[in-house]
Amino acid sequence: MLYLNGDASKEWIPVASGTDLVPRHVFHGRLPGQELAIWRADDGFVNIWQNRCLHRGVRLTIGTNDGAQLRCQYHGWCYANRTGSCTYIPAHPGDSPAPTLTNRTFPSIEKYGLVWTTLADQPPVPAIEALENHVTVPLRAVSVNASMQTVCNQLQHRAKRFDEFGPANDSQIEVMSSGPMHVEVRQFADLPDASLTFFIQPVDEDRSVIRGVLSGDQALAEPLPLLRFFSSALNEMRDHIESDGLTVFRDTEKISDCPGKITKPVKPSNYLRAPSTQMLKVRVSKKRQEAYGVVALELSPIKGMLPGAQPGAHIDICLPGKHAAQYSLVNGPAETGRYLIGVKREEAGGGVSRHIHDELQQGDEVEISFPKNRFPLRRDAVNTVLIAGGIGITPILSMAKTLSHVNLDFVLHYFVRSEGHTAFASEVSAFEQNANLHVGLSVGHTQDQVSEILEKCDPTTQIYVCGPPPMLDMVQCVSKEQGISEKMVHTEYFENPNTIDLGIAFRVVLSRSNKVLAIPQGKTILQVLQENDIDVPSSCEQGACGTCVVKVLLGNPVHQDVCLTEIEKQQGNWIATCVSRSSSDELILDI
Amino acid sequence: MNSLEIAKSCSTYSCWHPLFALEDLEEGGVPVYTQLLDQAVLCERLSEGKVSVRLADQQRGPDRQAEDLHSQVQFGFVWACIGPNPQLLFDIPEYHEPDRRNVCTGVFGVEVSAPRAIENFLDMGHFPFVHTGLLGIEPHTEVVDYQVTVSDEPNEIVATECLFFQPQAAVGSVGGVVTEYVYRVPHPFCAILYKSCPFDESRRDVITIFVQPESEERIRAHTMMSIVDPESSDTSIRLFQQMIFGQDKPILENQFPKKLPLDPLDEISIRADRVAVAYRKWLASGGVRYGVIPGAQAT
Ligand code: FES
Ligand SMILES: [Fe+2]
Repeated sequence: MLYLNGDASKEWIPVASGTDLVPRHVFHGRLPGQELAIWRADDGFVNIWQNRCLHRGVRLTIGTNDGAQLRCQYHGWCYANRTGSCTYIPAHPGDSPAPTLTNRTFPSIEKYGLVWTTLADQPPVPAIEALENHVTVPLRAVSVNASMQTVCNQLQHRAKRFDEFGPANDSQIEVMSSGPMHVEVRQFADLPDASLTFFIQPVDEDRSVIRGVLSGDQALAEPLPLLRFFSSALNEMRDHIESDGLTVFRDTEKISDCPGKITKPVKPSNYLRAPSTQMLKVRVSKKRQEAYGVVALELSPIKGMLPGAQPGAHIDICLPGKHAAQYSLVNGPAETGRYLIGVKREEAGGGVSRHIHDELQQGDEVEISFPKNRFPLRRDAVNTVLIAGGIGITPILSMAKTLSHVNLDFVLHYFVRSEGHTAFASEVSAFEQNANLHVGLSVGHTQDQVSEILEKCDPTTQIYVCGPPPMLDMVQCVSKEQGISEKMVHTEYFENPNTIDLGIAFRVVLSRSNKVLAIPQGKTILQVLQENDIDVPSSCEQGACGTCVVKVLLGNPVHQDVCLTEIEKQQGNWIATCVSRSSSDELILDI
Repeated sequence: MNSLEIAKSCSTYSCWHPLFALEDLEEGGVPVYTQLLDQAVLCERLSEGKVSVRLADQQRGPDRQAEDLHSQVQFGFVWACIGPNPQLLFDIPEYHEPDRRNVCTGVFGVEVSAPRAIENFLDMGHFPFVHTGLLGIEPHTEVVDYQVTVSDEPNEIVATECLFFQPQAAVGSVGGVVTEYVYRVPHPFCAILYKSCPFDESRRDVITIFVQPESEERIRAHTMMSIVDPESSDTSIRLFQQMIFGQDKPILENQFPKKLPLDPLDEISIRADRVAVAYRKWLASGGVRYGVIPGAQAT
């Protein structure tokens, strides 16, 4: 029974042996017209990607697998395990790449000791009866200069001849069955439970790889003689096939030359700003009490994978009928399977945190935004100081995990009210002498402690602070007194401490909607837009979360938010429409 | 259209292209083969610094000179133009200063297109990753914004205020220094780099790359330095340059496609690539079609 017209594009195709994927290695795989970079992360996940960096097209197989991300050899762009999204661009350490900047990935499964991928949409997983529920060992892969069909054919005809070189004299080999890309043969008289199946991987129109899998619990107790035997038998078969004139030799140049069609990367209009409207459904896979008044939630994907996140990133949690609330991700670079957040119960505010504490159950579904990052971490500092107060530990912890992953020096200071208020204590203590816990200090003592910390910083130290607004203000004050450049101090406010001045009236011109709207005293741009049915997403509506930021084409914005960075504010290309104003009569906006 | 037809139909055909360092040819010696724009050419060094370059398949008649290609010797190299109307070759005024040492630092064969090699030469972002410990070192990876101007007269790209942290910018300097570069692209396949000179603060050392396109996807890169340095030996200067180029070669040969895509959507460019973006546009508007994949706008 033969299926010689099997179409590789509709099947799972074996592209590597599991043992090819040694830790921290990138394996070069290949399908017709498509080179693959295949690598296993430290968490075991097998990534199969287009073998081409989005930046300048360099093969990713010459890059570095650091266990959690793949780094391109040319300019060091980092791509995350699982999602393939670009998480860091070293030439611009202060920017955060948009999550849409993502490499092309292919599905992967591991079965029978082989690694498989597919170009089709979810075909059924290969199931060969003889291999199910048995120990399997892949044979050495043998590459043949002949098409998949030729190899399939030849295997069937020649398999019988294997017994001529049989490991034992009375071995008998029969072709049992075969599918579009596999040939199953057995059995060996002296090894009744042994079976052998060949899978054929098409590499080009006229090149294939034979991947044999041996199975049988008894046979594999001592597999070496069998492996040796088949290794030489397959070599012999390859020589036969190639000398039978079934091979077409090709221009070697062409062979080495097609890592796949250029698929255009999705390029957002500005790669620094993520689209803020995309939503995602996730499941609460774990909920646990983390400290007094703080619960930790693990959010897992319902379908597919979660978008990659960078250190410092946050998500919005959207509950029906409530304003969205922002929570920083605690994830380190190696944690890409789920999002981890810490939620502090706030008695004031929109009620999201109370709902999470009181109502939300493990197993529930919630809607969240794609991760956004307005607190990016530079990885070009020789020294970094991380300061967290209370629940502000969440983004700081993801930064600490990243710095420790890439071996950069840092010191973490974590101010808490009491031991019982220490969220993520075990993760913090994993940094050992790099982490300092300051428990129960008064306001005055906290300030003294911060002065002491900042005094030790040299001018190249980058400082990241997250915590309650009075603490952030204090750190900024102290650092100013000490003459530390503003550029070195990075803060993230969970709320906007500024008093908003809605005093001046002006006009906005909406370039894409072709509209002019007057913004009177006492009303925000966002309110006027909403009154006029212009859809701009918003969330905190107090200039802290950055959801309502739009592009400014012309005019001078007066910034009153805490979500844009100092540099973005100076450039004047963006405005937080929920709080900021204009000093020019007119602002032209790109909406 | 095949490569040869592309060459003939685009502006590259009337450009001067480097073939050999003059010093590598023996005066009165046998003609030497090389390849230019998909055609085999023969190059011969005559007496008194004169050269003769011709297409290798050209039958020689009695009037030998009339069959020769346009050729000249400049910056220590033999240049030729296959097309009938050669454009003017750019100048490097510093080259002619009497107290400079002009050292040909070697020719490197690379399996890549000429414009990919030029972009690599104009690129600072790869220093810490490719020239680790020499031209850059982690974690100092930032490329701060620099200026790019494209002028008509002369028709060239200039990038200024290019600053980069280098672990050992000059002989004898201890610890890292921020070095300033100026880049000049006066020719689709040639680029010049100016770098502060450690021996004379008021002057700049010049490093050049002149790329000979053998085919669309294979080049010979000729390099030259014109420096004020009374100390280093020619050999040590050459060895340094060869080490640097040896580090770039495997990267260049692993770029796909080998030709340079001119469509801005094919590859993601960042602010650090400002000069590369300008270069791609300039190639497209200058009608260069050899060694590139034309973008949507160019066709
Ligand atoms: S080509 Fe990969 S980082 Fe530039
Ligand atoms: Fe380089």
